[in-house]
Amino acid sequence: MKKINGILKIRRTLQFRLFLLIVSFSFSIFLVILIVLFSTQSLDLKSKNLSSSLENDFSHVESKIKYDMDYYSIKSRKLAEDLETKIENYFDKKSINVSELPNSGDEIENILFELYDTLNLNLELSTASGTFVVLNSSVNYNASTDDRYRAGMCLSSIASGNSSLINGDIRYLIGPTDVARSNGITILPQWELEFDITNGSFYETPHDMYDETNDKDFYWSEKIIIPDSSDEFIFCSVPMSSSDNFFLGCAGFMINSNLFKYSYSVSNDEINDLFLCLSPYNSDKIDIIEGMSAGNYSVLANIPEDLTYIKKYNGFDEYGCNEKRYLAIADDFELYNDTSVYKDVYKWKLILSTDKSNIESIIQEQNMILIITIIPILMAFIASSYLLSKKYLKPVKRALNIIKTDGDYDKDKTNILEIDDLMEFLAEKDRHKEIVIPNSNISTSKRFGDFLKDINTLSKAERAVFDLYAAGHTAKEIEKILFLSANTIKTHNKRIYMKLGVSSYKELMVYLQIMRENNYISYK
Amino acid sequence: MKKLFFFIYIAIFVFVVAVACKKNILNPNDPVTISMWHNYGGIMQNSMDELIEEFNSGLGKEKGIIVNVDLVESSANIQKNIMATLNKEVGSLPFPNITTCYPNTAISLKNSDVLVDLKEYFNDSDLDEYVKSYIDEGIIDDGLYVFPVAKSTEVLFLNKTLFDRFIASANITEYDLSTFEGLNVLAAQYYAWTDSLTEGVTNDGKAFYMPDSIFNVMQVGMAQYNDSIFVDEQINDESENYKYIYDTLFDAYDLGYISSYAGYSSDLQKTGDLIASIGSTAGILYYGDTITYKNNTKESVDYEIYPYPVFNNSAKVAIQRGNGMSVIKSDLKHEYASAEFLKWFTRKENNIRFVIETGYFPVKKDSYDSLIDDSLILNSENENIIKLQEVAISMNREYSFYIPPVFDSFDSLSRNFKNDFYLALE
Repeated sequence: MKKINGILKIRRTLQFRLFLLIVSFSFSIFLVILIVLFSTQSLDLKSKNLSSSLENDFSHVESKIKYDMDYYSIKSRKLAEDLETKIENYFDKKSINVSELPNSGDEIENILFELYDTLNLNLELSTASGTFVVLNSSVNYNASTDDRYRAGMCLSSIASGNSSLINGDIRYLIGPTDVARSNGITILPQWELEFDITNGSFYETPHDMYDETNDKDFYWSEKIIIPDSSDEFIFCSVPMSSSDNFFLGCAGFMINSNLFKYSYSVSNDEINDLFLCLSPYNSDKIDIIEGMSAGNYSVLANIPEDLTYIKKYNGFDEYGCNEKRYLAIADDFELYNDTSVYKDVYKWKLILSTDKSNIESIIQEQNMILIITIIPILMAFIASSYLLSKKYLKPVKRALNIIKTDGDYDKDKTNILEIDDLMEFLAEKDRHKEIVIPNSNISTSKRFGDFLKDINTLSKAERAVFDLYAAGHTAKEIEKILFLSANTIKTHNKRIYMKLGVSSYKELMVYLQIMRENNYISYK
Repeated sequence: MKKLFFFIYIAIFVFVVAVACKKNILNPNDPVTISMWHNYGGIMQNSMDELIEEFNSGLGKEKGIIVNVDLVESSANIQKNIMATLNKEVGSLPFPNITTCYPNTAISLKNSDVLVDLKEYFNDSDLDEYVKSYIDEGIIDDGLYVFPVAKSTEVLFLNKTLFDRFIASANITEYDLSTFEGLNVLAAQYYAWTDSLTEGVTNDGKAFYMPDSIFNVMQVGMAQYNDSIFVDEQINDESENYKYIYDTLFDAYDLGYISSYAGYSSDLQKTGDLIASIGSTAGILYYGDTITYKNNTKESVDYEIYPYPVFNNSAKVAIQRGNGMSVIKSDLKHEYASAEFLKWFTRKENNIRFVIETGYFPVKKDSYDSLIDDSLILNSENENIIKLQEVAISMNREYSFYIPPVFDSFDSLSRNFKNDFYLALE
């Protein structure tokens, strides 16, 4: 900074101006590229990327679950039809009215013997976790006021995963032990003789609906935990009736939580700790605890009991449970077809979710990476601008320095045409200035004597140039006279200086002046 | 001489580099996924899932290993799946990297050069930490092909509630649950007592006990008499010990003192149709705290667990059971990762956690001591498992263990013996 006319002004150097120019230009290009990339969505925002990725995963698993659930629903209906026919045939054979079923505690074991093969075969030929039949009867039907038990049978497959065997190990979960023992099927540790129908809606809901409407639609229950175990199932339950519409019970297929977990767990390369839930929902609240979940063990151990919708958030649906927040992709899941009596009554949601902090930390991480990437680029721009400007101006500075210090214009060439021309012009101008000879008797000095002697060491070509200098011609004129290039003249000059022991053109001119004054040179 | 030293130096150098490379095979930034088949399903599955998840999020994440369970089935079906794959049957699944495997299945795999010799990944001092007989069981032709992860034996499960009721009613003051002969005496008394309960009906007494495998009793009984049931891969039915054991059991079966039910004895225990069972310790979870009668009434019961019975004047020998895990040949990365998982899974703290939730026995020597010394046994939530582990520890100290031999015709010999035995009863 300098004071000019009393005002403090910033004096910018040429290099600084050039530096600013290059930096501005580079930043502009960079900005334009970023704008183009963002506007053409080539450089998506990270959260949008994540939500798209999760939507893809969701869509894939949703169609898989839909296919399977539809399959089990249809199979459950068929199973119930087969079983109700068998029950009715049994009573026909016994010449007992099938409406006597509730009072036929003594016949139950025989009935279930009849039904076992159908239940077993259906389970063997499917990938479901179990098949069941619950009868409108009990061994204690008339004996007790405790109306919670119903006779029946439940077979469970312990296989999980993609067995190549269609008859994955089948175990006996509920029913008379004699049926199991006769058929050589192992009884599970959590075996019960009869169903406790208060432990879930798999019996009462289809029973009530049948009584009300005579409708035999399949019904998917909420998650039911088998007592004294950690086994969890959802039941697809279809009412059974006789040909005269007497309610006989329910039957269908079951899906357990392990099968759901193994079949439908979603893993995403970028988002950890995902969990997928198929759960009943009401208004905006999803009852996670009542549905099936898939995910890794540590996540499932901590999933919320329910989720309530809050708002849209960066392409995700944000849900909350107490203070915790989750980001998810969710959709209504159509378990029932349009004609089902349950369609508008029991709604289900499929939701793929993770803790909100997981997504936020990914975005933050990506932003950090972006910042960490951009900063060095910007630093590189600045550094390269500085270096470029410095390198570009180096010859200019050198030339200016020579001029300032009255250096030898011929000696330091920049190889930049304009600057070298300027330097030569100045050099020529310098040459034509009157050479002031110091007032000393230089003509008689030993040095001058050597100079004169050394003239004879010049080559023919060098002597030609020397003579023309002596005659008062400029370098440019000599080029034209001798038909030589500027570089050739420069080369001759260098050799002339070297041989004659002079350091510069100026010094040569001084000696030539002396020669003229002392009549050592005659002009031709 | 100089040349020799040079080659030795090169060999050492190459070895060191190879070991270093082996140690650096895995990359946490590019984890390797190993697939697993196992038979710890049903009620044990949560315990297994939890341990695998813990590995995946802990050491697995650190080293770059992810364990993925592709299949959970009964051990019998796992072996079927393995053989289906080995025989390239239509619809068979590709081999996993690790699978539970019995030694006799492992022989077929090893002969087809499908199995990894785990001695390449466990040195002698590593293997010294394990119970020797468990390691020996997995050795085929000097190589270790079946790695022990959880073992079992057979014990006597007694419904103490029903037993106490019986001996009180029948005025029995002395009894012997430690020998087969003692059990047969009790069985005869029980049969007579239950027969007497049905007025006007005779010979409808109930069986008192049942071994899950009659063939195991035969094998172990012979071992108790320091004899072998097999000679030249055939049944040694000329042996006096064999005849004694056979007759002791057959007579009791024939008279209805021992149940000839085709399934597991725990099934009969559930309905009070049996007082005692001789079965695998791995079946402990099948013994609950109630029994259910045909009219759907329930009764709370207690079980006691006793060491495996012996025959009179014989040694304390019990069978060693339980499959192990085998690693299928693939590539160095997957094989190494599989071995790392096995090392982690059988670490004392992890192995003990698994066994106190499932009723299996730990596989490392110091684990048994820890179960008692560190009171880890009390960490189980299942009273029966605590009782079982106490018996297991005492058996570990007092019994020697019989390992069934492995040869091609073993399964058919076992099957034929059982069929012939029950046929003779009819």
